Amino acid sequence: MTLNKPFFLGALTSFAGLLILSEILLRSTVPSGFWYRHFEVSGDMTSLAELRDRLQYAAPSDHRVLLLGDSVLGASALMEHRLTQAREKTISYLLRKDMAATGIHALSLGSDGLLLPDILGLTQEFSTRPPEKIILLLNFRMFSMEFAEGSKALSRNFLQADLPEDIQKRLAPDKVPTPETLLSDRLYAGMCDHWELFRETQMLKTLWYYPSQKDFFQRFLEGIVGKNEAQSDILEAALKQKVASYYQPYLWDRSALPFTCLKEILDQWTKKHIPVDVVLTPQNRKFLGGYLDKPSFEKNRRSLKAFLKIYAQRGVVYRDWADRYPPGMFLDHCHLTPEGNARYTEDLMLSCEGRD
Amino acid sequence: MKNNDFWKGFGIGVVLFALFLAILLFSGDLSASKFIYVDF
Repeated sequence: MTLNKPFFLGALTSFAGLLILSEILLRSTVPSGFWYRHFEVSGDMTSLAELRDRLQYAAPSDHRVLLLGDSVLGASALMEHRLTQAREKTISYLLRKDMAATGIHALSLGSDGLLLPDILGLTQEFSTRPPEKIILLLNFRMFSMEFAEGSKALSRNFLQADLPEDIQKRLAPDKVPTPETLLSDRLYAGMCDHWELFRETQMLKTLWYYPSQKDFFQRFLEGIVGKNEAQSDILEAALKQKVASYYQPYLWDRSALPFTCLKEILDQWTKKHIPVDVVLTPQNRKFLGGYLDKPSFEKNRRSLKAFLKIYAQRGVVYRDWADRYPPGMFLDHCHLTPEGNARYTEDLMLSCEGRD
Repeated sequence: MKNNDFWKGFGIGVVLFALFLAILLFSGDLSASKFIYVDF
């Protein structure tokens, strides 16, 4: 092989040509909703640019219902429990399918780890094209002490600019980010903004690296050497340790960020006369066992109910479903089995129609 | 001969693009979320 001028010219021509071709192809197919129709990418958000694409192209804007919530809406727990076709057993997927039969277009913005400041940020993003209805699934972790103040209270940094200044100040990290981190974040956001191929490949990556890259490689290894059954007990114990803080003796603080944001969110939605269904998502007391502080659990439920009472006359319907399902319908502390998700979807449908 | 080298280079360019695409699709984790795998 001779590395001469025609050789390099040929290589450059094909590489640049394919790069331009892919850009043209994506810029014409994304607005048609092709990628959102053919791939189930709900469950994560990879960039602000992709989120804006999703809001604009993933579902028709007429008769649109927005679903907002955390991993309860997605497939992460189902995949973690190695259930096949997990993405077709999620609440997001089932609700979208059931609503489509009635001519309603459900769009899920539910993502793993989503918190109330994130939802406030999302509210700014869809404010120019408000939906016909919003279903908001609240989870106990959203109000926990861990996410009450500081940088951990926001799960997606790219939504920070959408938040009011006073809330942005409260989200400031303890340590100033290093110039390297800032540059890396800006580079990633810039590439997502201006380079369609990069934006879409990051979105498609969630199809296999889900819920995480580590889990992908674990699944791959399990396919070769088989599942380590002894590990499931360790994983369950680790999960209990991790979620214990959400259910510890702690009374939700009305002045903390979750309530501040919830108030702001509901004020904005009700001002636009958007009907809202707020659901406190089901919890599995049995899984939590001794980790659950029952008095705080009950007091916090009452506190949320009291907080939402004033919104009842403004089109906000609140349902506390924390005790709704038996332990057998759960995979863990709050994620449901496929049968549980089907039942939850059915109940949400009835609730939306006011027939529950 | 020169024409032949151009097409060889063209083929290499296609392979390089395929590798580049693979890097985009498989390198790194889901970087937008601060809490990858929050609940587990």
